[in-house]
This record gives sequence, C-alpha cells and structure tokens, in this order.
Amino acid sequence: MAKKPPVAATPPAAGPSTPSAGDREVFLTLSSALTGFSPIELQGTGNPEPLLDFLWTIIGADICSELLTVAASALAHSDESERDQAIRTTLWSSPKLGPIVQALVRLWYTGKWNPLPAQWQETYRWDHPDPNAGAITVSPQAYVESLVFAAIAAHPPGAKATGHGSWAFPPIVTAIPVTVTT
Amino acid sequence: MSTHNGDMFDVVIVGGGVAGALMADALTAAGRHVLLLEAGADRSLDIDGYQSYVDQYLKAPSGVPNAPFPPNPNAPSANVLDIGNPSTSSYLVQQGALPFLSDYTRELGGTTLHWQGACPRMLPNDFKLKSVYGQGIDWPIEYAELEPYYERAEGALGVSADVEDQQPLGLTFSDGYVYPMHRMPQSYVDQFFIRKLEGLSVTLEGREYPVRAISLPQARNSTPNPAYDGGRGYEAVSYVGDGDRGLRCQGNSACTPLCPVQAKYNARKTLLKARRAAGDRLSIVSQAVASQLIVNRRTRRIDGVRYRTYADPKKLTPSGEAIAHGRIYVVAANAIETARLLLVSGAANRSDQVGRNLMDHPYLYTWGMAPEPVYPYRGPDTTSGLETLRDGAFRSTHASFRMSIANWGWSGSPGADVDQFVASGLFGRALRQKLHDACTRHVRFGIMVEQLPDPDNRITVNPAYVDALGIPRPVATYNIAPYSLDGARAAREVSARVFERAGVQDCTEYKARPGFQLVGRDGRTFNLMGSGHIVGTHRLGTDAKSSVVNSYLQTWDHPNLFLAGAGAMPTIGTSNPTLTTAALTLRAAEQVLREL
Repeated sequence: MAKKPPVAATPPAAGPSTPSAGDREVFLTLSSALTGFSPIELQGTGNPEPLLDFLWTIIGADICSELLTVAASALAHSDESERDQAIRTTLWSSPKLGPIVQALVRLWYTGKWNPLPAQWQETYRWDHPDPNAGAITVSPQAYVESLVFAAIAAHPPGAKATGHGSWAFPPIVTAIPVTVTT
Repeated sequence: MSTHNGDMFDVVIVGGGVAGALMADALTAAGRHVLLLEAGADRSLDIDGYQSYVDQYLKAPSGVPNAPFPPNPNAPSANVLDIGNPSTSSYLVQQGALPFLSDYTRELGGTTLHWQGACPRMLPNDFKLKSVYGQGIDWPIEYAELEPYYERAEGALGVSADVEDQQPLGLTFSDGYVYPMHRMPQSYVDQFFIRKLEGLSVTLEGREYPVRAISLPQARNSTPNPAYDGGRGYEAVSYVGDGDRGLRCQGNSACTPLCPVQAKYNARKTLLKARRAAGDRLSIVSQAVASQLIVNRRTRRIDGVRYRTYADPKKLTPSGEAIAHGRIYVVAANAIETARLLLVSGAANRSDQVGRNLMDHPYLYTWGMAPEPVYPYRGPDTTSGLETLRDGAFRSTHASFRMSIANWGWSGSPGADVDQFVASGLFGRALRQKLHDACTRHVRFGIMVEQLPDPDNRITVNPAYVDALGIPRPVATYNIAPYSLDGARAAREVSARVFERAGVQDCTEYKARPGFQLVGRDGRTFNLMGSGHIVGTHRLGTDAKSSVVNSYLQTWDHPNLFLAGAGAMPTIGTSNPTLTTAALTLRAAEQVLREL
C-alpha cells in the first residue's frame, strides 16, 4: 500500500522558481568540493545545470536556497582543509542539510537519486513523486556521465565504449586535481 | 493483426529465438514456406525499435537480464526480479525446495537479446557421462557426430575464437578449420591471471590438474579471420536494420543485458538475413501466443497450432484466436515455454519425460582484491576462463565447473562502493581516491557448476495458475543435489588457491542476499544463482520410453512435431548451451527437410 505524505511536512515556502546564476555558481563549486572533480571536469559532463534543476524540483526552492547559502559560507574558506571542515560541520553533519549533500554526492557519482531517509521526509519535505520507488536514475545523461566510472578509469556499461581491444591495455588514469575548487 | 487461418505452410515454427530463427533460415534457404509465430513483440526488428531497448536500459541501468525489455502482460517472461519461493504470484510459479533462478526473454530474437554470448563447445566426455564416469546419462550421439554442426553453428552465430586455444581441452576440429573471427582480445584482468597462474596445478580427488586461463569463444564480433571458409573469409554482421556491415565489439561492457551496437549475436540477425533471402516464403507473426498443439488422436500427427493474438504489448489487449497449419511443426520456445505448451496440449509425453530433468548451471561468485590495479569494469563481460577443470576423473564424485574471469569487477559495484564510502563519511578528493584505489583492484570469478538430470527437477502446469490470457503458467520444482554442491565446494577451494597464488585478497563472503540461494553442504554455505541456462525438459534419447525426442529433435510420439531448443539436451556439461542448441537445430533442420 502506498505511503501517504506525512502530515507533519510543511508545504514548501515560496521561493525563486528557478535557480539564479549565482545559485548555479555556488552549486558548481559545492559539487566540486563534494566530489573531488574540478569545476571544469563537472562542466564537461553537461550535468551541473540539469542536476541543480532536478534538486530544485525535488527538494524545493526554499531548502535549496538555504543549502546554497550555507554552502557559500563554507566554500569561502581558501584553505582546503578548513573548507572541508566547514562543509563537514555546517552541511554534512546537519540533520537538515546533511542527507541532501550526501544524496547529492551519490547523484553525481551514480546518476541516481536515492530518496532521503523517512525521518528527514517526515520532518521537512516529501522528496519523491512516488513514495514507494527506490533510487531513480535522473536521466540517461546523469547515468552516462556519472563520476564513479571516471574515478575508477572505466566507463558506464552501455555507453562511452572504450574501443575494440582497449580492455587489453591499462586505461589512461586521470590525475585527481591537486585542489578542486580553483 | 494478421493471422494465417486457413493458409497451409510447409513448416510452422513456434518461437523466434535462436533455435526458431536458425530453423527458419535453414528451411527457407531450401525453398520451403515457413510461418514463425512469436509470443512477444517484434519492436527490435528495425534500428529504431532496437534503440528503444538501449534507451530503456540507459534510463534504468541495471544488470538484470530483462532490464531493457518493457514488461508485456500478454506474454510475460520469467524474471529474476520476480522470484519468490514458494511463489504462486510470480509468472513462473515456484514450488520446489529451491527457487529456479533463471529467466528468459519473450521478444522476437528471444533470450539472445540479453544473453552473454559465450559459445564454448561441449567436451567429448560430456556426451558420455554415464559410460565414462557413471553419472547422468549418455547422449545417443557423440561429439564427433555434432562436430560439423558446431562448425556451422559457429558460422551462423559469428563466433570469435582461435582453434589452438580450444584443442588442449580435448576438442577436435576438422582439418584446416578456423573460427569465423579471431579470439576476442583478452582483458588486462585476464593477463594478470595468465601471468600469475603460470605452472599452477590443483589436486581434485587425488589427481592433479593444471589451472590455466584460456580465451572464451564468444558470439561477438572480433577481427574476421581471412582463412575462414577455405580462405573466403567471414563478413561480420552487426547493425541489423541499418546497414549490413560488421562492427567489432567496441567495449560497451553491457553484453548482458543488451549490446548497444549489436556486435553481440542475437537471433534477429538470422531472422532478417532469412527474410531478405526468402521474401514471402518466410512469414513472421509476432504477438501470437501459442496456446495449444492440436493433436490428431487417430493419426498421432499435429493438425495445427492454436494461438492467441493481442493488440498492444504494453497492456493486456487480447484480440483473438487463430490456428496455424503446416505439414510439420517445430516448437522452439525455450525449455520452459516448450514444456508448458506440450503439457497444456497433452502432446509428446508418452514417456512422462516432458518437463522433467530441468537443469541450469548453479552459479557461484568468488571475489577479491588484486595486489595491484588490474583496471576492471571494461570490455566484454568475460573474455577468458579457467577452463581446465571442465573434465576429469573427479566427475565420478562431484560436478565439474567452468570458471569465468569477470571483466566487470564485483557484483553490484562500483555503485555499492559509492554508497558504502559516502556512508562512511568520505567526500571530495578523498572519496575519489578511495574509489580508484579499491575498484581498480576488484576481481571476480563467475563459476558455472555442472548439474545432473534429475526427474524431480521439473516444469509442470496447473490449471489453478494461469496467465492473463488464461493459459496455464509454468510451475517450477527445483533443487540442487549434493553432486553439484560438492562441485561448488571444490570450485570454491580452487578459487581460494588461485587467489592465494595471485596474491589476491579473498573477499568472498556468503550470506543471505536477495536474488541468491543460500545453500549449505557439510557445514559450508554458498550463494548460488541461476546462469540463465535452461536445459533438459524434452530430452533427446535412444527410445520413446525414456526420452521425448530422437537425436534429430523429432518427437517419438508425433512424426510431424520437432522440438528445437536447449530442452533437448539430456545433460548440460559445463558449456553455455546456446551453441550446442544451435548445432542440434541445424542438424534437425536437415531431418525436417528429409521429412517434407
């Protein structure tokens, strides 16, 4: 039987209906810090825009705006370890924002959105059109450009074939950028 | 919906998979008129339809075999995502000690749409298991009888392999024979094992056997061998429906469930070739679910095939019923669906063997971490295997096994690793580095264990369980005997020895997991799954008392009824059964032509 949206969930407050240019900039920098891929690498996937649009729809403008506001101050640290510590303190371990950024990392890495924990949904917002569905692949492109395959010097099954016989040789391994946000 | 009420064909074939397609091709090439009935849809006959499967897969990527194929309520398939035990709600009803865990595809092209494409021949001793090892049953024909048909089957499917790799297994070839295409390049993972296993041997039941990684023959386009066919060479076939030129495997790493570029053989290639050559002499009617073979009780001949039609494969839309008539009938609907059709029709079962001796290869994973990056998750699913334990004196005591080297790392990975590392608090560069360091060292063996024929492992039908069209669904009763479990245990030990030798950290752990059986034997437990190798429900044999068909796949009971498919195999050995099915079908086609 289908679960019903929790009564406690507050309807999303009115917020900007689409992300602003500034939102997109913060999202890209945050995504870079969370994934270990440089902004250029992330731009190369074509996914920064559709993934933020997806997040905007599924989490709602109000929580997204809050997330990006908190992210902007964490990302203001120029020292990487201070920045990561700020991310951990203000985002990763936040009961409200932590589950979102963790789901965001998995989204970038796999192309799949994993519904947020039931507890989170009951408290904040219903984040899924079908409450009984498991993880959903956001789009073919989100899957095809999912980062895990780049991270392990492979490619997604069914796409970005590496060429006949290429599997007989070691792949070209892309170096992890020394610092990812510059 | 076109039907063929009233038309008289030379041959009516039920099932548009590899056996039905090869039969249709052989018969139409000899000038015959053939009607082929396919229960599923034929969305994939043109390139746009095929691409719709690719799109479906990329929208919901999953390694399960039927992921690219939309559910069809009119002609459902067994599906690994729909297996409980016991279960009366799943399409394949399960009532055995263990669930039968393999599935198939009801679409034009059949299960070759999602198969892996592995094409090893059966070994000579696989045909005489009883006389050599005292197990199972002998075939009425030997390897030598099937050898020329193996060669033709390898041509029809387009197999990539080199003869010199296969000869050490005891296989013989005709003088000067070469496979259509050279061996598939062996993966970087394969090369790691080839290097590390040099000189390794293991002891099974007191005898020593070498353990060597050997290239796997596969129906996947590699480099055509110019020496093929007496120097005429081989032209590979790929993009069916959009040009005819052969495209080599480019490493999409999605053999199962679907090759996006059709470098892997599927039966549509054969059907389209036949249709081009035969024109009007080949009629293909899809969305036609055979519901009954009409048996003439007086003549003992089949007088027709009754079938149901439907309008839309996406929703339940029954649209009518028709009867197809032919002089000869060939049922080639896979071992489960063929048995079901025979049982609901009361046909071909004087021996009481229809549906019995259901076999599969119980499938065991072992996995570990290589000491250095071997860069898996690239290339065809598998390009080599540890093939040397497919035969030996130990078969008197326990099952033989074939160990494929997986090119695709661990099952469920790398997605599972992302989830695990994120849950452990990793993000940013540390996460990226950790994934690289772990996943580039993933190795896995996929081990196919031999299973003996057992009359109690069977497909039955029960009027209490029907499909949406009202036709009784297949009911599986299945178990795995100690002979196979002891083989699995031996394979597990060989794997441990191989890992130790190669410096691989053994990470194998068996526990309750969805989609796997957890089976115990002598204090050890194993996770076993199905191989998709559905074999044995209408066994061929020497007489009408103990078998359903003769070695030409002609039923003992009805002279104008043939059963083509892996169901005819009386034993399974350690070979993926499609190539043997193809060889038997090509041999049967000659008999059909003689009968006409």
